[in-house]
Amino acid sequence: MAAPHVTIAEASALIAAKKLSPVELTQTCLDRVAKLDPTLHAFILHTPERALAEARAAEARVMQGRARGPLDGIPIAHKDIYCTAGLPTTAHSKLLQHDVPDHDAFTVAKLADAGTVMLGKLSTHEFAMGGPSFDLPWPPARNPWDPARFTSGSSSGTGAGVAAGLFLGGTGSDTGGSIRGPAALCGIAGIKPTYGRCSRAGVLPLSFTLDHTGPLAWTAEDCAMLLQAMAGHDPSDPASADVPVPDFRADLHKGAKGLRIGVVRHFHEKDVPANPAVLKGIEEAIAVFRAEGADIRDVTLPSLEDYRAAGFIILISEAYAVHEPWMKTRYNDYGELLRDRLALGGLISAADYFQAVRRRRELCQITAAAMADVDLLLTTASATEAPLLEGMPKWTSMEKPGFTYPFNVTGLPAISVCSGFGEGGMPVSIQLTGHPFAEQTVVRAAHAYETATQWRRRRPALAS
Amino acid sequence: MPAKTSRADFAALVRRAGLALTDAQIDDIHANAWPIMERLCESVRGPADRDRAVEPAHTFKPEQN
Repeated sequence: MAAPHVTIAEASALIAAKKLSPVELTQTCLDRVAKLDPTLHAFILHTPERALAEARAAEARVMQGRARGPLDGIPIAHKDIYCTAGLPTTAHSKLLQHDVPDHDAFTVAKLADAGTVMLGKLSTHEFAMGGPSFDLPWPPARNPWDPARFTSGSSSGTGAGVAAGLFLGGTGSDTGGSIRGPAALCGIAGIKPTYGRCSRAGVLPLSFTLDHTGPLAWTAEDCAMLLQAMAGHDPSDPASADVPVPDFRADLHKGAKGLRIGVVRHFHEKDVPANPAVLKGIEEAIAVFRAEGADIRDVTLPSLEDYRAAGFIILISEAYAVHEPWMKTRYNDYGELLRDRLALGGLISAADYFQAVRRRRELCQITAAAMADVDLLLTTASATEAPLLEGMPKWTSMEKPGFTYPFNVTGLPAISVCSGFGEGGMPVSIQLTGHPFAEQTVVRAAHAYETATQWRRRRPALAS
Repeated sequence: MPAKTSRADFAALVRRAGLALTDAQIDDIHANAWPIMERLCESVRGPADRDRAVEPAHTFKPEQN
């Protein structure tokens, strides 16, 4: 019988040792889905029969000594902007409510080839941007630590589902923070890899030069395992990087000793002052890293607002280009939040878009120079704990810059991991950022932190 | 802070974009979101001493297209 909750790494080892049946593990997850998803709304589409068939196939492979690798038999689910052949891919929108692609996204196919078991398709903010919305065909996902609270987005179903143990990991996308935001507010791990590390082919676009695909899971090590399957060159994605894919877990045993970590204090102390529990989590993380033998220093970057200005103008302009035909003909078929945000992209000038792209290069150069003497940057992924879901002001997401934009603008790999609990027992986070294609170092540091702290031992009461 | 663009000029921008927004939608976006967009746009137009030859972050490379 499966343990109440297992990580991907634990389940993988148990399956390999033939001590855990992929079918039993999948059934445990499906039972949890049946019990909790009516509250959490993590899923848009459940595929239990397909999941059990895939689990039986995985189990047969394992028993016959033909396992496909460490992810064989691991239950996951996909954000519903990832195309899945023969299954609806809706983007949580009325506009694609009945759309059924004839192909899998490149990363969906790679995860399937690795033997993962797909439990279904997951809630998102509409087209990975408009949410949380109550005027769409499906309700928004809710936070397992308190279902009255927001998951963040846009990979909201993945965040909620992983935190509740409905599945062990899942896919997300991150254009301005949509992997790291839900990871932060749902108390899990989520990595946005370097731009180009994972293919975007077959994933519905939001902003061509800012979109990243990547995984969310309970731990940094689990993220590394999923990333291992997702990463790799894809000629069908013009932004895909033709670079070697290292073993992302190879350095996990090294701990944080010798790593040079730059703390971007002005982000969370001055630019957007973070809540007390977030600040406490950062200071405790600094102490943990120092005790582990890391070299800690302060680093100064441009302001969060500076990154947000370039990032948001690029995002909204590129997103409008994607949606322009529908915006002109089906405006009111979108949810209010998405359509009124997207409209902004149709109103700014081409010159301002290009000024933002020029500013982006300057920001990349400044950031690279500031990181010359460090391996990693440390800040948070969210200034606050999860707010209440209902009654959020419509334009609240535009009021203050987020902590995640800088690393979409610069394309650098960044992970959010849980760093404790604050108001109402809601999770808080730290965010670690590395050099281009240095995901190995990012997950090494995050794993060292998780191993040295207790936060991975606590699950939402609802899921216990 | 209110938008620098007048309500009438903003409505003209909306019409030029081909968007069929209601008066209430125009009022909401003009009052609550457009002032932020104006601030962000002003921010990326600088710094004042930016060399006019500064290149964008993505450039056209014929061999890659």
